Amino acid sequence: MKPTILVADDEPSILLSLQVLLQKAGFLVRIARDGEEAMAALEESMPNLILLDAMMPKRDGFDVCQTIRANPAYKDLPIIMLTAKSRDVEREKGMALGATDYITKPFSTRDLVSTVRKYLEHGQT
Amino acid sequence: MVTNVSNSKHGHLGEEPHTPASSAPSSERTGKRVVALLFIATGVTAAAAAAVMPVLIAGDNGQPLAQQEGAVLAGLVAGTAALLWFAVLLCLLRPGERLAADVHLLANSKAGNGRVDPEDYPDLAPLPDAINALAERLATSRRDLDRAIVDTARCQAEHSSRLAAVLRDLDEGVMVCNLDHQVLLLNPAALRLLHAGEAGETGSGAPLPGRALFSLMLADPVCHTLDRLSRRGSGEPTQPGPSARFIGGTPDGHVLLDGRMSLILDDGPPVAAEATVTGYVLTFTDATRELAALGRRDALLHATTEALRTPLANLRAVMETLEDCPDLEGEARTHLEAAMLGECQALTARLERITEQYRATIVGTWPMSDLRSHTLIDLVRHRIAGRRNIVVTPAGMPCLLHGDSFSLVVLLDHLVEQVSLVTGATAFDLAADAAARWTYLDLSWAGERVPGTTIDRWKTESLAATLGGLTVGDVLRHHRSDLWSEAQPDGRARLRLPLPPAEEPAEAAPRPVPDLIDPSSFPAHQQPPPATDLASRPLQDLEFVVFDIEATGANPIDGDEIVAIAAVRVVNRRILTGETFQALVNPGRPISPEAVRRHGITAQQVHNHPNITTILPQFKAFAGNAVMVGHHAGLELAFLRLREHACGVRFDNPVLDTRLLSLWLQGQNADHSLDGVARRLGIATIDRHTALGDCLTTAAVLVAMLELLPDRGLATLGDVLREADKLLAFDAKESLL
Repeated sequence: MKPTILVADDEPSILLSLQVLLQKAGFLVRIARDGEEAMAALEESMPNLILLDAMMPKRDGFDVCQTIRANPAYKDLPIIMLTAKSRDVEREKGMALGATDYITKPFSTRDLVSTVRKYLEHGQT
Repeated sequence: MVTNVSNSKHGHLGEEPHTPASSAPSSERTGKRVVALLFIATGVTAAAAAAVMPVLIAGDNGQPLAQQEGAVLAGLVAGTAALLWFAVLLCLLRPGERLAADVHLLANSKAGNGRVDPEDYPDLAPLPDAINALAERLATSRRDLDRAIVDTARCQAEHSSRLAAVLRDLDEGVMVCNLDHQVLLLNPAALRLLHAGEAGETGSGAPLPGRALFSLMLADPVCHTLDRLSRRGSGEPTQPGPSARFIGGTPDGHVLLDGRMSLILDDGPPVAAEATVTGYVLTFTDATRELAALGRRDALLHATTEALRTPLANLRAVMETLEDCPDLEGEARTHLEAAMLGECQALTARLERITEQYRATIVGTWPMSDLRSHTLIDLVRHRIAGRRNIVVTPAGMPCLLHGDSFSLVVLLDHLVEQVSLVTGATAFDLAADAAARWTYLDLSWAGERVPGTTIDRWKTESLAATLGGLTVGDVLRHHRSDLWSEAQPDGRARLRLPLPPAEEPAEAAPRPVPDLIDPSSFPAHQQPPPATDLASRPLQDLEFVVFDIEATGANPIDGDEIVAIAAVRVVNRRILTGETFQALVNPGRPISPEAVRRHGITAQQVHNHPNITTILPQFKAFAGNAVMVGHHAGLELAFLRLREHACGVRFDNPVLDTRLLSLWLQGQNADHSLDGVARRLGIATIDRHTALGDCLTTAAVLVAMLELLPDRGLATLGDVLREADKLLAFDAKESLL
């Protein structure tokens, strides 16, 4: 069975691009356009990995990440945060709130797909 | 008796009368009583012994003779004792009492140069000499003490005046407060920064020193900083002068302050002990602009970094997707291509916004201030003077603008030279023109305009080495400005440099100055018609001298005198701000308080200046035969003509009154005060109610009217003077009615 990736971002361009590229890479892709949609999608069925944008309407990525980690059922779910915030302290914050990795925009989609593969193969470690 | 060395009257020492008798200590009186009782007891005992002794010697069968002898002896002894008592009383006790009184005087005298006369106390010698030696030492000590007090006071006064001078000249606000947060001392900059106005004229009406600090400044930052500094010292010796920086503000939130608090410590305790805080000193500057600029810089940094990341990420993702999926077809490809275009447009728009923000930040950070245009123009003129035979004539109405004075002077100097090289012109006018959004600096010359491509080339040229290699374009960018050249009527051309207008209003709200002039009182400038050739010349071709006079009062006939004269020349509708006349005059009489309130010139300012007999001939020489122009020229002329004879000059120039011209142009119902006319003609006024400021405003009014009058049928001086006479006649009738 193909692994499922939940992509949460409010930017339609990147959402569409990641959807196309991840599907081409052999993943099932579900999308969410804000923090609340992301939580709803998660509750519906657990994905194998989440690509989570930090700045989203309704609930930001940090909040979503913290809520997910508060639930022991999602303890081992890899969460990769995508963000335009480049300061070290933002990265620190993302990692402290439970992100598995933190990728700063703009990024290479090829590298991103490799990173996704890596976490799916090896888990959070 | 006590002798005052400088004042040989006996018994007058200093200013404090001293009454020894009344203030004699009770122990002294008791002592005297004991001495007297001792004498009486001794006398009585000796007398009794003398009476009994013969009887005892005579034996048991005492004879009457022996009893008589005893009585005589007793009487003799008693008498001797009494005499002895009086001798002691007169020679020792009484002088002793007087001496004690004199010593009291010496001790309490402020004069400090008294002494006891030894001849007054011959029986008590050498006690008076010893007392005099003591008095001398006392006087010396007092003199030393007085001198030390005077020196200390003078030293303190010097320190105070130095401190006051430093505080007065500081741009930083300084306030000294006690621990009850009451202001004990503050400098003028503090008043200005806190918008607190003059002492005693603030909202609450309380004089500022002694007023609660927190009515002027937000309490929380101050209390927090004080608490922080005080805590730093607890448990360890407080370091001398501990201080900390804080961001404060005014209670209305309009001003942000960059402040520093320093504790004032008690000098008393030894180094090891914990010092006591007795108050604190606040120094502060207005950080509103700096913090706003910092905020803008932060936003700009954010815009150039993080805000670009998202659209770039989108674009990159879309492009990589399209590249990695060449076989992608249909709706997905259309969406991605549209997304790519959209992201490019978003990036472009964002770049434009960043550029705009960058320009605003540059302007915000370059050190700029409000400048007077005529000062700037004068600096340019002096910098250029004599070079390549170029002459720059200051022209136009002075106004305020915002910029960096030095870089603008260097820039204008460079531009004048470049224009001269390109066009061959050597005579330039440099004028400021205040418009709504910009204040233009206009460099004009007779000849062709400079092509745009040439100006673009100039923008890359470096200015003088003193500006560290800045180019024309850099200075323009710092002022958010640009340059262009345009043709003007009459075969002239100009180079326009728009600059930001002044940030402070040109003048505070007009002071409620009563108009000292009753216009009907001095319709005195009816004048003989001018020479025909002058009367028939077009107004625009005439040379004008616009003048203004300030005086001790408004009534020249009753003896009011001139205290200031100012004038400016107007030629070819150009106000030649480089050709002005300004003089203060000693009026030789007091200046009325109303007049001082109006023009601000005090007797102290004029008392060292020449009197009118010196100044008036100089003014006539400046005016020459030009047409003289004034607002309320009747009153001004009355002052001049009443002093003509005494000064040996004659003001027979033709005279125009801008008030009458305004009356002619606008009719009776308009406001014809100088402020009213200037406002109507859109002329910004500066330095109103100074002689030069008023005459520059009048000159600008004249120039504006010279444009309007020919269209209304007044083309020559003769036309104007005829209409003025009619208006004067009408005014006279009105006043009679």
